[in-house]
Amino acid sequence: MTTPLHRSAQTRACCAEALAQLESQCSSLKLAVVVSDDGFEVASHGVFNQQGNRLASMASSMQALGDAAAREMKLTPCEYLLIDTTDGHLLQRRIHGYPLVLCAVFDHRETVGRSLFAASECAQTIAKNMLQVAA
Amino acid sequence: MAEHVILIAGPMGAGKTTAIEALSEIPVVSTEAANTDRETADKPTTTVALDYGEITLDDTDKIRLYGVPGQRRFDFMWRIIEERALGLILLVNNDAKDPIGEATAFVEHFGDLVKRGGAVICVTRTDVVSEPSAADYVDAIRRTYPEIIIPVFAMDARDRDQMVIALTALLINIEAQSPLEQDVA
Repeated sequence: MTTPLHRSAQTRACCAEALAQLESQCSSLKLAVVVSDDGFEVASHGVFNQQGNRLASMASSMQALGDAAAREMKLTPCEYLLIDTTDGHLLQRRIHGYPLVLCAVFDHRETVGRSLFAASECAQTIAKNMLQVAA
Repeated sequence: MAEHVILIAGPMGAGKTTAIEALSEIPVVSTEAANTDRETADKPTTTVALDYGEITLDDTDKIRLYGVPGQRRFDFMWRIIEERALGLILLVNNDAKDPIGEATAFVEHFGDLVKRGGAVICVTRTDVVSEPSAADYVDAIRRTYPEIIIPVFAMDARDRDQMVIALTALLINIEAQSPLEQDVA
């Protein structure tokens, strides 16, 4: 039986490295977590105590609901989700090729466009890191 | 048309998705993800948000079936659906480590819904493990919650006829407490 991604030290390291890079590029990043499709935290940044586990479960549910809504509308799977508030926004981005999702929370200083770009870059970095590990 | 929300809950691997697929007259809206927690339940996928199905009762009444994930880390979904629900179908797999403990824990968690609406317990996988019996569940629930009456059935979640019996018992239970029309007005 293969090791689940959330228990793989290499996967966790790949994701943690990409999250640290995201934080260094975006001072408006409040917290970020990479989660498995079934709701386990793989890596996190700026998350305290049980907050990461909670966010991981909610991110998994939201992603699955996004995919279900897209499927019902005969669209391709959900690429990203955005929850916008006056305090900031929560952005989720699927990591291509892996059953993983990046969930990042930015404060109000970040524009949606900028945070979407940064999250996409982070997701690509994780996918690239994962490929290098597998090679 | 009056629409009644029924919540289907229970531990991971009890057969909630299967039960909704058996009951629903529409293709079930599902939110399955690859299951990496094979120690808890050895199955390839698991529900991470909800399952949704529908049954039309007659010209004026429709049942909306919402199944929620079994894992406690998804209990925020339990609360979201519980607030809208009229009643609870609780599925428990008899081959779990402590199926009666699971049943009483879920009854406790959904206590408000059980008291204001109603509940039935469907014990699944009794063909794999025959004990505890349905009577054992009734006794355990009665000891813990003497004020609550919950019918218990041994069920095959794949069998539509059996699941219809459970759903009908739940609706009768709910009606006995309060007419549906008043609940959903």
